Amino acid sequence: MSRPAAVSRRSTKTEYIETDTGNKISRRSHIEGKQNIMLGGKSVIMAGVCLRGDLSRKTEKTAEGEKETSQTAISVGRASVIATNCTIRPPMRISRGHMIFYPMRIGDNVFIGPNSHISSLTISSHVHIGANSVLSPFCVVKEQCKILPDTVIPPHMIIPPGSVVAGRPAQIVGEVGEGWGQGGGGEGEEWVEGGDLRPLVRSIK
Amino acid sequence: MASAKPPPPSKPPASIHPTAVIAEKAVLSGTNRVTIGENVVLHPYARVRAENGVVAIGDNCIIYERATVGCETTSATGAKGGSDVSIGAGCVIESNAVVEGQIGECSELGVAACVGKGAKVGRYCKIAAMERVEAGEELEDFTVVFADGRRRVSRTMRDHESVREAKHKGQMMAVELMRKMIPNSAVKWTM
Repeated sequence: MSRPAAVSRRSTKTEYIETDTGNKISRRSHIEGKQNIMLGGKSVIMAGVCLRGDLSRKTEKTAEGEKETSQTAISVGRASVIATNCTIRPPMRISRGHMIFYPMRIGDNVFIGPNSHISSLTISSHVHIGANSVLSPFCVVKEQCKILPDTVIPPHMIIPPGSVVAGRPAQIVGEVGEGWGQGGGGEGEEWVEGGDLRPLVRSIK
Repeated sequence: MASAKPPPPSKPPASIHPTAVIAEKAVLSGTNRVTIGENVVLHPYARVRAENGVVAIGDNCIIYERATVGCETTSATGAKGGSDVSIGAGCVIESNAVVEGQIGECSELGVAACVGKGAKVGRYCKIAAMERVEAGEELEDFTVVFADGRRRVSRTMRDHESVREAKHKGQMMAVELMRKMIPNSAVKWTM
């Protein structure tokens, strides 16, 4: 009799916790330092995602006895989806003689494919990142880019808007062209890469 | 307090230097000896697997989340030896990387890179993201593995003492920073 009871308990406990602003966070995600992470609303963090909010920039102790505060380490925009088993860690480097972590920004409607590793400085809006990609520290991805699966973007690379990127190390292999992110709304195709991801977020339960 | 829940199975005998930082969610498993040197930083979800051989991690290493150090699989022949894993001083092991061989000092292993069983990686090597060093392979000092298996020797690193010194300095600063940020729970593994 113990088995059916276990099933019923499971069904009441959903995979995702939904916040007031509509963010969906998997119970199986690994989030460190949640006080330093900002989610814009309607964003999804799937199972096994590792967010390192604990690695944030600490303000220097000032002479006025100001309290040591840490600022937002990871900020994610609206309707962005972070797929399973991604690792997101802010980048680190020496600045003015001190090693510090830099806060990282992820824009709106960004899709990050499964098993990716993200240490970039900025990812702008409407970017689609394929599975198993590695974004090395301090790379910058501008608007409406498409990063193909298994790409390794080297440190400090800046990807101009509308590029298609692939390879190890990454190269710009083309442009996304007109109509990137347009369309959708058809039968069984509620969302497109680089477009509005809200229908996708809605479908994740 | 003494009657807390029993320790998880197969906690390895560990000698952890008092200055090492082991995050609460890092995992040490297996039955063989684990040696962790001074100022080592083990990030959350890093795994040290001592199931099939001893694991030694040198001073000032940084092992990032979800990296695996140690042989998970027994050798097909069942032969003993060759499953010991050692990492030299000042190495960086990135996320999702797997170390089943030996790595010399100050080498860097990229994201999801893999060093196969019994492989020997020299000093100051750099293995880029998603590259593989096959089992039994040997890499000479200053080798760089990149772009889907291409190899070269980093002459900058080899010929310039100052570059190596700068690398040491950066590593020390990184270790210093992380020591301040990651709560240490090394006690859990030494008791």
